[in-house]
Amino acid sequence: MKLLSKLLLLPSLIYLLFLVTPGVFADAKSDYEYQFSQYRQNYIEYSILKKDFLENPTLDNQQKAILSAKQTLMARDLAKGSYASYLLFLCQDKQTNYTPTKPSIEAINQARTFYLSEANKSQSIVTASDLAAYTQNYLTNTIVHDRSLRSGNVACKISQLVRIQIESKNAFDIILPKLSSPFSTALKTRIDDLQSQGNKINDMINTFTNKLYSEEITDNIDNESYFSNNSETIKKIQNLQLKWIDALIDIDLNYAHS
Amino acid sequence: MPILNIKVTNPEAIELLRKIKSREIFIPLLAWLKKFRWYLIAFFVVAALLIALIVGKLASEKTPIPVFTPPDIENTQPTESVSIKSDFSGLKDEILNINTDLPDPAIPVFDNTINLEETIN
Repeated sequence: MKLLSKLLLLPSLIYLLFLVTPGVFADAKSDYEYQFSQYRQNYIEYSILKKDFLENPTLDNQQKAILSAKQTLMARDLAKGSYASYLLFLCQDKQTNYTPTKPSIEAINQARTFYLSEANKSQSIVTASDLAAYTQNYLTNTIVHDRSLRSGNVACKISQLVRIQIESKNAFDIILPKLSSPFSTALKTRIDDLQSQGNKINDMINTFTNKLYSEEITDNIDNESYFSNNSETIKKIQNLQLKWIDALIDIDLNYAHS
Repeated sequence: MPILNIKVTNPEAIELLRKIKSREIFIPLLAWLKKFRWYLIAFFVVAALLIALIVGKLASEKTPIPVFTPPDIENTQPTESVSIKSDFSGLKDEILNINTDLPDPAIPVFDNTINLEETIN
């Protein structure tokens, strides 16, 4: 009987292993999507009840509107928190251990903690004045965390670029021993170019990341141009990475395979 | 063997026999032939051609049609192009797959001013 139960347990464990591994990504994303849909649903209800209360300010209508507002506040902060979790997952999934983006990742983490604590805090609201005070306080405190989501979004994109740099370096290290030495002058020039181009891209990423924390950029964080400007730089780095990998593939095909 | 002696007494028959003997009866026929000789010649030419065609067709049907096969051409083998793929093509695809648009994922819009006060637009 024990043997039978062990035999049944083993495939179940293997199945669970397969189920859980890719599920992490699906969980973070689907959790955020679910929480956001809940917020939208609650927000519609709150808007209707608030309108009813403003048109007909009875005690009953006020109570209904306060209850709906509390639900919406909770749903909003849970949605923000799950967005932060999703962003964190996307950043940490790249496993870059890249120091310059660490403050951004830490800020996303703090934002998540803040949103989750606010989701609980909002449930202590009883009166309309409590709600007004809570929102006033929230408006002051949330700015920094909302901005963390914006800068974190760029930091996650940087993590992707850094991951490519790590993999490119690994590819370079793999190809080097495959090349017949001593290197011809042409090949040596190409390898030198590849190394200097790789360093140039690394410097560009470092400068871009450090600039994210500069006063000039942080002052601009709420503007529409914040993302478009950063997106342009990311596109430039991506193009350089493409050129670099094309040069490496060319060396691989012409020198390593011959 | 007794010779049969027939005596023609019918005056019309006598007249006809006389015309045959004197070849007088053929005169209208010769005149007709002379008048339509070109039509007759044309008719015979066409008839001869038609007969020739029919005879030719019958003769060709009896003879099997020779099958002409083209001479063998040496088979040409398509040149096999050996495509060498780099081990690093996957990395290139990875770079290409990076979405450079920001924000990614899009930041949803939230209302930070949830209260029961009238919103002034």
